[in-house]
Amino acid sequence: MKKLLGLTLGIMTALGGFVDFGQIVFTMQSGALFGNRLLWSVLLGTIAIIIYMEMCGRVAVVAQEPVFSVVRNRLGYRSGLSVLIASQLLTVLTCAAELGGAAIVLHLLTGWSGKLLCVAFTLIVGASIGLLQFKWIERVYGLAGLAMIVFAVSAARLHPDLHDIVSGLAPHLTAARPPGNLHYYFFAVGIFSAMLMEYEVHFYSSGAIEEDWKTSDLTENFAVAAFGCVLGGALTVALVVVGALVFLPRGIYPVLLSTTTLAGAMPLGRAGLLLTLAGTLACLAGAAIETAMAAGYNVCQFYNLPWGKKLRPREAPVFTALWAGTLALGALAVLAGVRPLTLVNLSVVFGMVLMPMTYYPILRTAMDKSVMGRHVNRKIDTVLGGVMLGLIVVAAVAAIPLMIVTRSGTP
Amino acid sequence: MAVCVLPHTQPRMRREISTALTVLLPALVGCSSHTLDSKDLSSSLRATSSLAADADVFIEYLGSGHSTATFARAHAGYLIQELEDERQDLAGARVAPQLGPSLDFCQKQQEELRGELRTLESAIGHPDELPDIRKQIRAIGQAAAQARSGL
Repeated sequence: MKKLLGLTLGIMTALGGFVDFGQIVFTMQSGALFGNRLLWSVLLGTIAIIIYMEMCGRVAVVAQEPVFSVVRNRLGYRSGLSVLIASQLLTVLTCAAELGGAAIVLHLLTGWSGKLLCVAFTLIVGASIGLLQFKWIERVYGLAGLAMIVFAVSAARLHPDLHDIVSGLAPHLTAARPPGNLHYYFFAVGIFSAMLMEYEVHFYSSGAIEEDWKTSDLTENFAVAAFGCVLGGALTVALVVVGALVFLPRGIYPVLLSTTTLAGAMPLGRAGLLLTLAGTLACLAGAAIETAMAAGYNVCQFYNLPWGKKLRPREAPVFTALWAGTLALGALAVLAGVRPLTLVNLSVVFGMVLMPMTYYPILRTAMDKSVMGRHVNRKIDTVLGGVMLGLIVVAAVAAIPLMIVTRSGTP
Repeated sequence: MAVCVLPHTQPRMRREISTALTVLLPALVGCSSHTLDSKDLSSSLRATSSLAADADVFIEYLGSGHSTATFARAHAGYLIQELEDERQDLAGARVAPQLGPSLDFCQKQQEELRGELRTLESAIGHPDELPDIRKQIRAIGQAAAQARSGL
């Protein structure tokens, strides 16, 4: 049972990372524009994040080095600091988007003021981080996020063309429909990026240390990473499929979280609507927690300061101040009227630009025998990691030009 | 500065990105412009027809009786808010003279859609009023889509 519950770290990491506000809207938009034709990007992103999540967990356990410790050691202080600052900004942006998204979902459920709900939700998320042990955070929010399976049920109830889905999993180089190839590439890069968001591996590798994983747990590490990511990837596929079946034929380009929720609920009854809202809320909560905690982990690991949920707040004051401050800043951005979807667009694209600087040091460390000993990368790990890193670099170079020429994907 | 980095984004996106950067990157805030080209106008017409289709699906869902009143009112509110944002983008906009009629038409469709969405919002809980509203909304969406294809 304990081993089974250990999977919740992977589930929470992947659901909070894959099925967050950005991914829900972004993937449905891709389905609305290109049908199932971009599913290959989901598949590629899933493979890439499994490879790197496993690597991050292994490095964290064997070298006792979480991601930002690796970044500093491999890139040096100055370059590492640049990555840290950019990562922190992205983390705040993403956290704000999740809080804003959660306020929207709560408004759809209760009808109360969105700003009030944002404050209340931020306090609940803050209380969860402050009061719950790490294992309970991952269990509560990981398992609650499973309600998102309702989107897979919706996709099945809409009777998708399985042949078209399988065909979409194979890479297509062209869009074959309006608004054209540049938009197609923008969404391919965006989906790939959203699945590899840095805060996922920051949270996962820190979680492995929080959970006291030993080298004897490394087999589980792969299982946890793979299970969570495959589940998150499958749900992402379901989101694309629902977008393709509900929005594409009607010419809708969804820009509202309430519209995407409606699409998930349409094939189901009233219970389906409530489950869709609950699942979305759980995933957004998980993502808000991941981003807030990642903000605390990153700085403390970079400067070698005390961090972690096992320490009391006064024993890890910087860690505590950073996760609490990130939540507060995120909530303030929402209260100031910044649209969550705008924050998502920014974080997905700029996140992609930063990715090589996060994943390259991890790959280098995982293949370093002097650090990893007998747990060093196998040849296949290094080759696959290198190929994925190559794709990450290509996507990083293309991300901003594509965002500009496609007007952030607006058709 | 934010707008200078993203010179071709549509006005609303420019404004939003600027707002976000104002909160998080104050040093990067800067210039703004409201001159629209045909691509911007095409995007606005696309957004208008998309919102109309969105409302159409919503009415279909309301007809199924599966929605909660709270969800229905909130979603109608978000649709209106989104349309308001679209309208605001066009409100102070300048276009080349040959695009003037298209801009006027787009604004007219948005105005009509706003009226229908407000009617829809007040008709929640009155299913007998929905078919007429749906018919009007569909007509607006089709007109916007047609105007876009003619640009």
